[in-house]
Amino acid sequence: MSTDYAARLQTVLARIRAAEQRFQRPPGSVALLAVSKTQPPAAIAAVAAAGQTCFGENYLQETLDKMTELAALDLAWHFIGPIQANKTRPIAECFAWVHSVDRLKIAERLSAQRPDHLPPLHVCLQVNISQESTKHGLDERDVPAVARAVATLPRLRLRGLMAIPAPAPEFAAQRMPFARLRALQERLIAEGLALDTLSMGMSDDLEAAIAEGATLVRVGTAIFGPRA
Amino acid sequence: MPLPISLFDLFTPARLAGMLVLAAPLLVGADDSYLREIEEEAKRQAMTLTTSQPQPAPVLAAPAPDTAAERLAPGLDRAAFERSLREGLPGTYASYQQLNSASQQRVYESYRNDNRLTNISEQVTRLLSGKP
Repeated sequence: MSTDYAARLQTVLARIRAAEQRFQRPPGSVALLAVSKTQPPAAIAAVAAAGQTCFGENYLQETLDKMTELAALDLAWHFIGPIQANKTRPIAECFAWVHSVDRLKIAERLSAQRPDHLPPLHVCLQVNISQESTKHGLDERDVPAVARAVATLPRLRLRGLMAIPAPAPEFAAQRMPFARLRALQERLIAEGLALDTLSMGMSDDLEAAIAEGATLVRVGTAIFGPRA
Repeated sequence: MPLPISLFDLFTPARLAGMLVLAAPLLVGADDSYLREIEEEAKRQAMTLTTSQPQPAPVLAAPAPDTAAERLAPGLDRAAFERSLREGLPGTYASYQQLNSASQQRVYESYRNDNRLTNISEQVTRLLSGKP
């Protein structure tokens, strides 16, 4: 079983390296976040044993339980799910990254609640790039104002943007929303914000995301298999 | 000495019916007292249930700092509002400072009607993004 996880992880890493090469991205410029939501601690431990250190989670309570069980491992936990305002404190206290900041007030709470003994919390702003009513994320037009405000918060470090575009079957169609997110990021950088992270691309579209500048792809199914 | 009537004679259907008629008030009386006992027991149980019913669980309050952070203090003048914004919502305050004075006044007036932090923060973002 551990061998399966290790083999699947290597396959995903090979896809990432191949895409870097194909789209003239520097080798190693794209990092992998293993999305471990709903996966048991044993599966995460097996993937960690194969060399993966960054894990993405959507559900707070589930993750807190896993963190306790896997405390002996040196893992970096990324929160990638929707954030309720009354749940920011444990997120600020327990995670290294948050990819799903979609309101300024959430960022302000995370900053206020980040313990002083920890380094600043790395955050990305989630953008509703496909403008789907069912998806979380900032309206593209609000991103510059929110980004400038988040960048002033003392206990956060704004690293970049995150998006989950609507699924598209064709490679060219997959690239379009990623290109828009990259353009938005470039605009913010031109305004003086020091952003270095584009968190975009999952199991089915990571090549398109890498083609458009992803620096971090979030992959679950291709590593852990389909969720039950 | 032989009995004046035999046992068979004693339990003839006619005599049995007569005995039941005579015994009926006693049986009814027994039922009544049994019912009374049940009623009294039910009353006792009802009283016990009423008096020992658990109090409703107290509504769990969110941690104080989080709850307090949901609203700015009401009724602040403009200067106090801005101070409070700077302390409570530093990111929103940074955005607020970028608004022109008319927009800042709009935010302040909105706050006087609705002091929820979420609404203040979202209004500042909207205005800065050029939305109505």
